[in-house]
Amino acid sequence: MGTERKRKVSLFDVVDETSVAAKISKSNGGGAPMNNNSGNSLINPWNSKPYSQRYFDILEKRRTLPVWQQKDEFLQSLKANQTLILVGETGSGKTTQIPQFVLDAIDIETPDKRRKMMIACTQPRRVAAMSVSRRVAEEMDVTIGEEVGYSIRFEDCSSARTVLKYLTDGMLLREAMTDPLLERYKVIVLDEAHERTLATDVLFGLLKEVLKNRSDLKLVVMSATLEAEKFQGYFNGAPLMKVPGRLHPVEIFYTQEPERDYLEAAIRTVVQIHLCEPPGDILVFLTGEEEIEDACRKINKEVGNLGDQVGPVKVVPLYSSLPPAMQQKIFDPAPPPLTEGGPPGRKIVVSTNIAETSLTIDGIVYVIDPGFSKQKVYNPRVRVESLLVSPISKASAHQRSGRAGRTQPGKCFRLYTEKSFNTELQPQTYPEILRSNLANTVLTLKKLGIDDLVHFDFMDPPAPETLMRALEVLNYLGALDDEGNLTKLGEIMSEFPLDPQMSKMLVVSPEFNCSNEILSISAMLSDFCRDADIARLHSSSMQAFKVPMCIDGEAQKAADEAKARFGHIDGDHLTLLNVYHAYKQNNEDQSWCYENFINHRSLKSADNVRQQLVRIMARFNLKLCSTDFSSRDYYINIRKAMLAGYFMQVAHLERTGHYLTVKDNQVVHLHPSNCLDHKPEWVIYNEYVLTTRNFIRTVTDIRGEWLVDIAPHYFDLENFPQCEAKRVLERLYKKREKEREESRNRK
Amino acid sequence: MTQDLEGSSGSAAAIDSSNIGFKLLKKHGWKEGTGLGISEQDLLGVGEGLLANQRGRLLWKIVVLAGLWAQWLERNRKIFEGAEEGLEEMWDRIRFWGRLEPVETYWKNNKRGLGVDKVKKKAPKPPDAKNITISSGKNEQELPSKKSKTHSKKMRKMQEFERQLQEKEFERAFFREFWPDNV
Ligand SMILES: Nc1ncnc2c1ncn2[C@@H]1O[C@H](COP(=O)(O)OP(=O)(O)OP(=O)(O)O)[C@@H](O)[C@H]1O
Ligand SMILES: [Mg+2]
Repeated sequence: MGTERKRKVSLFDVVDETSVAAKISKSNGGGAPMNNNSGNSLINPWNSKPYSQRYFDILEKRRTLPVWQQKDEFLQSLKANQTLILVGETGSGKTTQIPQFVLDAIDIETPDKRRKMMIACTQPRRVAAMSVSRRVAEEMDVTIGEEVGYSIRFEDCSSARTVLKYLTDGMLLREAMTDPLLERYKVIVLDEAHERTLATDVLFGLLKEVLKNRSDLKLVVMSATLEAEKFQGYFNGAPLMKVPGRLHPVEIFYTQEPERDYLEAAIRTVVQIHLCEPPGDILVFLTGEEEIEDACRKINKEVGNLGDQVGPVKVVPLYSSLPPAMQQKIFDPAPPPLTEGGPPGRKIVVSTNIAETSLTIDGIVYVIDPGFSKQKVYNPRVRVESLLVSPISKASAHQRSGRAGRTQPGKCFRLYTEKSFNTELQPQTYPEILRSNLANTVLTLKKLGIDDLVHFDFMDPPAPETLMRALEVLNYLGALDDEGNLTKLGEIMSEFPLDPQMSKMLVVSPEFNCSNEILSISAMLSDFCRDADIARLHSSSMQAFKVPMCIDGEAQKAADEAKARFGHIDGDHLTLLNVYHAYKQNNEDQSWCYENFINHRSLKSADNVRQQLVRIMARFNLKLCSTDFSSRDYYINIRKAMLAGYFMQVAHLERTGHYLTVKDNQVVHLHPSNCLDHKPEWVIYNEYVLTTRNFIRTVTDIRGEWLVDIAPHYFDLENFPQCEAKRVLERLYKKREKEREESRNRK
Repeated sequence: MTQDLEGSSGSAAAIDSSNIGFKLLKKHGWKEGTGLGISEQDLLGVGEGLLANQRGRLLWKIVVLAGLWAQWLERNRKIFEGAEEGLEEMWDRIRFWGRLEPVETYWKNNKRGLGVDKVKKKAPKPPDAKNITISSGKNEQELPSKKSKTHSKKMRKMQEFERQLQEKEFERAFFREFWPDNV
């Protein structure tokens, strides 16, 4: 069926080999003005060790990258301008080479001999920040974490010696909170700007301000798309440099007919490639964790059915909720042939769009692109943020194809027709800032001292209602006062790299005498969103968290069993706490985890996250405490503290038997993964999952009385839509009133 | 007809002036009916009188968009004729076009490839409905079983929906023209 594919001329310029060679020899003669590090010397100036052979081997390859042909031009432009925009085709060497060029040409010495200024290069994804920095450390022949480092949420791999740091855009934003003028940096490179992540967009506006105040700071904005002209307009006409061409061509194939089932088509294409195409690894883009795990199983099965006529395959999943160490598996080599001289093995990486930008996975020759991804959407009117499967944009399709052809010529199979490509895909993905809940962003901006949110220089301003919601949430949480100013509480909350609701719950937990437990729960919840740095916690945990998730393997049975072992009938949050406690009691033992269907690595990183959070608590003198475990109040206090953060995410059980979210009155259902043994009248939920039905996931039973005790300002009946919940609350308020009266009389 | 999902619909009531968030945004200097951003506030502020009702708002939006579009075309003319002056300034005005409404998306609950529904259904809908045809298969089966009783209600809903789509289509067409690589 899909075997016949229409062949299309490469979308990319095929680089004329001879002209490259000619230009290389030319540029080698010239050399950059301050170039002290390009291979003429045998001693590495960074660590004073002799260069390894590998250094020279890589250097040879690096010099063939398109950006090297414009090195001089780039450095001159950098010298003459404060802001510079650079557009280059995927794989032309922007991410790995440009920061090194900058390092060679810019003086980073400070009066203090022991300290040097740094160069920062932002990445939208953690996996990219980690892998790219490793590659650059290798290229510079230094140890990762020393001269070249990376920094991602909850993990800092850099030192006092670091001069070039790759970090997620969210991390740079966090650094700006303590160092508003980013004085540690001499040059900031905003990479993959075309991705238009929330944090990158905020950094745009922020850095424009910082540049005005720091004439010695330079900014390089790098992008892979032509949208760069828009950037140029935004950055007051900063010069735009284009790097044409790429190293290896990528051939694009479209299907002749639309595919009835893209998942099946993707698997079929994998098998066909494995059967018919020359050696080379495969990268498949799918939408989410479940689909990816499903596809991995099916691919293994299908290839298994082919017998030993074909080479072995190694199928590796990649999605944001995998712990970083597991993510690094995509860089493992392909398996060797089963028998000597037998058919070669292949690595097959099945990934979400987190592998779409920046990554170079050595050995990938084939890319399969079904044309969909999960995209975040936020509707401020009903306050729901969700990830929905939607068609990708042309720019994304281009990025995906760019993952092939990085270390050799490649092929990209698009599982849709050329006509669909032309007519159905939007040119660009909507910037994330238009699709996100901005509560955390607003908190960050306030902390950065940007009070005029309405006139903030957004490249694409979000809808006013989105900002209203953010302000509303922060006001209810007590982070902003009624004038919109940051409160003391808000200031502390902004220091946590978490959702405002979660930060609030942590900050107030000592008042409920259970901060130790709340810390554990927060760490368990946030462990599963490996790709989030700021503001994204909520949405990524959506995709990632369900109770069986902290449990290895596929079987529902295993999940059920684990549930039986650790499940807490009052709620999923408490179940998570049980899992964490059991893990600690068993000395974090790996085989214990295995026997109990618990993912050891996830627990380990949760533990690490917890330690980081403890440090932040200590910085603000927040007490670490627990209620006596044998006390009846042990779990009650925990549930109350959670409510103090999540009172805006409450659902009420109607007489009709379904749940309605309080105030917004959306019909929701308890997610089937929950551990409850009953349907509580009131629940708090961690996330709202939009599918054919609307689910609330990670739920815990709470009592109506607590609502009126803990958050009367939110459950204010003056401001409440007519519904069953309102009537119940009315009764509760009356009851409280009566109790108060009685106690007064008694006195 | 694609169900306009309870949760994701843009048709839920807009946040009104009694909301604390609304009040706070006004305290930050926002003018009702306008978008955010550096000069959006001034650019759109002129049409305040018009903005009292939905139609007026749409109209005004189109006027502004058309104006921006004209500027854009003007800009191209200038580029092609080599006259570059005033370019930056023009860009400054264009890029501040801020959104008034939140972005919408639809839930996809099947594994159908891109463009499949379109082929199968031989366009029972206007071509601009393309982004809904990609969505759910379940709804497709619901189509024939539509009861006449609920018909008119559904019709009204559909019309409303179409109107929204047209609005969106305009935005999209605008964007298509807008992106430099398509010029
Ligand atoms: N880990 C690696 N192993 C082998 N080669 C690599 C590796 N990382 C980078 N390269 C080589 O360096 C080239 C440039 O990579 P780089 O990430 O700098 O490109 P880029 O311009 O940033 O691309 P993109 O727009 O896709 O992010 C790659 O095409 C590849 O040839
Ligand atoms: Mg890159």
